[in-house]
Amino acid sequence: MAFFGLPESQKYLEGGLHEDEDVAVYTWGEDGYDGLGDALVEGNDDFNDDTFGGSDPIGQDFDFQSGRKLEALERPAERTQTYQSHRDHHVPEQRLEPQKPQEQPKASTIESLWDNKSPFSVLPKFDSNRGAERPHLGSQGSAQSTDHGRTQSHPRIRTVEEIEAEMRAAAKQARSGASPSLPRAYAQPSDGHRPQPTSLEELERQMKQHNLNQLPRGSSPLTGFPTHVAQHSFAHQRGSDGRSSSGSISEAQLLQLQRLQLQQQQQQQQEALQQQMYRQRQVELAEMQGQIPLDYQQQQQALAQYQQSLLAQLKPDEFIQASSRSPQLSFDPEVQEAVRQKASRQIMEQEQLEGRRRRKAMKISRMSRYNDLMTQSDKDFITRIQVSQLVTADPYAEDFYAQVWSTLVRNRMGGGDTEGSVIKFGQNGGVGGGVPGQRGSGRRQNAIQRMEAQVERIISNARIREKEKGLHSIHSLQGALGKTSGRSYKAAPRQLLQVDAVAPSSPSLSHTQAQQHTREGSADFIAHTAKSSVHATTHQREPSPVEAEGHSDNKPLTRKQALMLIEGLYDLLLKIEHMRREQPAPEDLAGVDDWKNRRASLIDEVLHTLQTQVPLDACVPHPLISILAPAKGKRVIPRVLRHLDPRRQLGLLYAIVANFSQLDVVIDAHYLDTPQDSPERKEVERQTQLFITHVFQSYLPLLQDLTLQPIHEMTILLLERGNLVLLAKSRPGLHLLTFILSQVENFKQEIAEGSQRAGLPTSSELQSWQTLYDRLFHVLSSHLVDFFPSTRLAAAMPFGIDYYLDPNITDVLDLPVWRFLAAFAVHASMEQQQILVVRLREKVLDNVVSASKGTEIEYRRRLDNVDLFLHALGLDSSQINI
Amino acid sequence: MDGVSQGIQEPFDLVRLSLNERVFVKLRGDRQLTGVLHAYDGHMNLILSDVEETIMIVEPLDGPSDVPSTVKVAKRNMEMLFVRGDGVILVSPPSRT
Repeated sequence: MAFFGLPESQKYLEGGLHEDEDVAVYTWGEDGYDGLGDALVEGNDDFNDDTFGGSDPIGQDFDFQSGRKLEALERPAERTQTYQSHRDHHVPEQRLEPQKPQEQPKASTIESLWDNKSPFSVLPKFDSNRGAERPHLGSQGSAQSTDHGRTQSHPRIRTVEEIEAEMRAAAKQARSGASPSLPRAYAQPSDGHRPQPTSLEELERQMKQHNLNQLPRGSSPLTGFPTHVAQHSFAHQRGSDGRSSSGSISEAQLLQLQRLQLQQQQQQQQEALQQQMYRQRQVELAEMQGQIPLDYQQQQQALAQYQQSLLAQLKPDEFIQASSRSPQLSFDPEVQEAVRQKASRQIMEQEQLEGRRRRKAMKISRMSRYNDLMTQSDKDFITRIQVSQLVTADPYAEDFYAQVWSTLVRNRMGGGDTEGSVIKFGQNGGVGGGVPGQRGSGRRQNAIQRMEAQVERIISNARIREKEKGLHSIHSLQGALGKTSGRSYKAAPRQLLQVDAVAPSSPSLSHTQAQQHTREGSADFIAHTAKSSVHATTHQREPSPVEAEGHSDNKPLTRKQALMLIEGLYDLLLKIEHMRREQPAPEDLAGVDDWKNRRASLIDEVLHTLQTQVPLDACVPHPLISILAPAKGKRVIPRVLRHLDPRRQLGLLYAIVANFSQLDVVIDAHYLDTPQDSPERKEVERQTQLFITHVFQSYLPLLQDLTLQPIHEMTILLLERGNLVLLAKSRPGLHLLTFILSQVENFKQEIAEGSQRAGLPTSSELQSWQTLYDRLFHVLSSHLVDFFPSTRLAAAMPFGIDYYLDPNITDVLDLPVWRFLAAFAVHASMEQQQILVVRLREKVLDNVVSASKGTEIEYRRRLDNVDLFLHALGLDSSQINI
Repeated sequence: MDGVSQGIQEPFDLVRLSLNERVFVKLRGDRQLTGVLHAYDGHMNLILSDVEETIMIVEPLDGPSDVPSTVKVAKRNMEMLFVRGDGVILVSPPSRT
């Protein structure tokens, strides 16, 4: 089936016809119709409607250039034309498209804007130089078309569209035998159903060509014309039809403006501009699909304003440039260049701004595609789900980090004096959150209010549920996503297994709640140790199961057990730390009592978990020492001490000191004496640091307040229970010994100064201390040299220490030993001092000799080290003659 | 029932014990890590510090297939590492000698 005689009509419309040419004449539906159409084989047309689209109204899907806009652009006089005539202009022009490139635009005047020949003409393109066509095409407005001699009987020449419509009708009626009658009126309800011929693409193509044609002879790019026209047209459109300042108008304006820019910038930005146009077209396309009509109009208005401002900016430069061309006003080329650069920079900036706004608009339009996809109830539903995940009875614990962070932030901002206030979501609390007071305005405010209302409802629901279900937090989410319906719950599988519901699942290892059997507190570790005045107090305890089996069989804890105890410890500490925030008001006496009791029992539990009740000799290492082995076990000590009263702090210290030589940092200290950098060495180094910073440092305040008696007792513990030599070879042990010795020395000095401070030792106490010191001296004095890390290192190295290690390092390592020796020597009697000097003579000489070889800093440091010790004996390094 | 098994109710409790401890992690793609575990989640995403990664690279030799391919071991150290959980095969305390 021929495609509606397209080739013929094409030729026909192109004006390639002359009167004498033989032309196919179609006479369907007319009086002179020869009925040849009926003779056509019209089979296999059944599905034509499906293929080409039936008589259904044609959608707007492919209508990229709505006629509405074009109409708005028409010259006022022409706007009175009916759509009918408007359409008739367009339809034939579709056939003219291929000829566009040949169009040669003429001079651009104001009139040319409305002229068909101008690329900027917004009129339907009816080329006036194709005058020959006019008679052929005619229009329905001029009801009678000229005849062509052969078609005299035709009332008029119909458009292809009409013919198509008729043919369709004919095809439909062909079967029923009814012959097509009069041409049907085909007026369609809206003009938007047909693609309009002046698509932007064409326009652009034309413009490009136009520009190319113009530029070579555009010797006067700055003549008033473009500006004039643009302004004129702008004003004109504004004045004539404010509403019509939508897409196409500004489009036309923009094109003009762009041409202006192009000319000014010698085409250098042509590429960018075309991209810009492309973007604009994209936006317009989106608009055509009816997605962002509002936004786009606003955007276009803004665009028009921008253009105006751009013009205003351009004018002065324009003037300068124009005047620079005139001989009498020639500027310095540099100035000219600067001006031009400035202008182009401004244009660039404007374009960037414009581009940015455009991108924003694009983004909004992209997002707005999804507007109203969800109904309000949908949104509420989702919000409910989200919020129900946030609901918690304990915002502080659940959002610990958010709470701490926000407290810090508030403190930094200075406003937050609300000590211990927990951020809550909503008034009734229950949901944790970030910093409050960062509320937006308007819609967001509303949203938050709605959310709060919902949260309150959800929380109250959750509370009711919790009451119903007890503390099974897992089930609190049940029903959060709605109810399952349409299924009988009776169909659920019958429960066959009865598994004990173990109390709260992890991460909390709160096994202590699982078993609540009380037991006679077996342990008073102090009682097992020295004749101590310190007594453990608690006898009624709730031992943890681990404790129950931990020491019952007198086996040391496995590492895993120790780790578990530590985790339990941290859980307990968190509880205790949390309790601090729940402290009842002082007026509430019963509440305070209850609170204190609960806290005390928790602290008891902590001590129990620390295994302080286990007899000291139960196993090696003692469970407490096992707990101290991992890094986090060392770290837990300061946090534990914070909650203990001094008496219990001291008790814990006794327990540690009594087993000091079992500590990993003491036992593994020999790793530090190897020069190689092994993983073990690194680990021991790390643990040692941790022990000193966490355990030792946190005990310092307590130690400094001790009287002689506890110190005495601790020394006994060390002497009797530990391997003092091993201990003194480790840094923590050395620290402890140094501290004990210097503390006693402080007492002595205070007494010598006649201080009457309470807690100072009596003379009998000091005497017994001296005998203790003698024992200490006896044990230690023969190993003094081995205490030096440098000596031990040297022993491990066949080629001498300096071969491996920088002496600077060994000096630093030796410093604590010198300090210890100084503290040690102070207490020594004359004979003991003699022994000390003899034992250490070589070491001292070594240092003094090597010091003279080193640099000034090394020299000073070494001598200082030595002097630490010598001064304690009343000597000085300067007395030594080498 | 002894105390250990009472405190542990799910596998993650075992991982929890290794917090702040050195762990050995086996990963897909013939990789192994040892490092100090700082955090983990339900996906077994891990945060490790002081990490040594060991990568086994099997290099097939050109030539007859009966010639055994060589295995190269590449190592690298990282101060802090986020391990995505989908690659984790195994997390364990390091073997203690």
